[in-house]
Amino acid sequence: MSEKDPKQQVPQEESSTFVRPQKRTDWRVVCIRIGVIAAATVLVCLFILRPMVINGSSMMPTYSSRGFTFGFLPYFKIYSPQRQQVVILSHAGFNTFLLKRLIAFPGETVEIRNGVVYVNGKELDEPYVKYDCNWNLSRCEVPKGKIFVLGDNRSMPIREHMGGMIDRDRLAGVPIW
Amino acid sequence: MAGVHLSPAKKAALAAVILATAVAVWFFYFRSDDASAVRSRLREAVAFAEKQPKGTGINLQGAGVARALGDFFSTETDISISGESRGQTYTLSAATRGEVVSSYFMLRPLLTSLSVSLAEIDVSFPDDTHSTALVKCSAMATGMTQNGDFFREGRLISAELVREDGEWRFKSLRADPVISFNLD
Repeated sequence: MSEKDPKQQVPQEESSTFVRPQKRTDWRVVCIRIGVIAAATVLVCLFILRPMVINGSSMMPTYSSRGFTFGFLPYFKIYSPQRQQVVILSHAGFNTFLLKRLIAFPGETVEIRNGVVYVNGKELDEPYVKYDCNWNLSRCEVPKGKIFVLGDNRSMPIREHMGGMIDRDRLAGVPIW
Repeated sequence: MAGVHLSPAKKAALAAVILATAVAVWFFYFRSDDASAVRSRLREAVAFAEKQPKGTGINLQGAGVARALGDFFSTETDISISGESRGQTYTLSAATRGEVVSSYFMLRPLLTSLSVSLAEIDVSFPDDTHSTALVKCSAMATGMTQNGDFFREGRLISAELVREDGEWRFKSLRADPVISFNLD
């Protein structure tokens, strides 16, 4: 009489409770994960996307001094350099780079008259140059193995500007913005 | 925390890896060969060129400096350092050890500070006797002139060192700008 239905004998809460194994933090796994992430970050920052602080005003107004960017270092292993592209050049060692605009390639001639750049005798349209410039540089040919680069800020005397011929091998990458 | 139990074979393998790593570290960092001797000679020379701002660090001074500096160079040497400063192109050159020392004492007072760091030092030996070493490296010089002009520039260093009386001495040294409008 007083027998209950077997279904009703099972407490409701018990039937819907999952039995979860107690989780224990495996610190060895955590350490390995942290180590792998740290190593990957270091490798990426050293060889692929190098964080860079811009020091100097030679690329103003395109890049301001104390600005920050990432250098994409394998770029020239994939693509060829293009004229008027902003490039990162290795300056001294693996920690100091130059940020410049590529103007001319080997075998081409460069000339600057009253601030206007001529490559192979043809005027170069440079919308990124915003400041007045009165530079003059007599016509010269870019030798084999070199490239000709300039900064966007040409408001200072040409002698005070770090630009000109540099080894093509020093092309290290491009800024990603 | 449970300990890590390794089989004897794994222990032996681990010991072999540690030993190989130690040997590699010793081989690359502590072995004393001609190339590392040339590199350390180059760094010693750079330490002579550096200058700390007044009141910080130790600056080399005194009569002993001239002799010690001269010891870095062959009796007949060829030093050439070119560049631009305040719109003027300059070339510093010296052909003898004495000229190097006198140029050093003439130019040093013009600088308030100078620090030089070397990178990518490549040393090669043109002959098997290792009596001559050719060095190429990048140098970053940072400093300030007495006029208050701050400078920071990269140079390509090309040097030839010869071994004399067991010491490596500079036979020639060139320090050219990495980037320049001037093709020469």
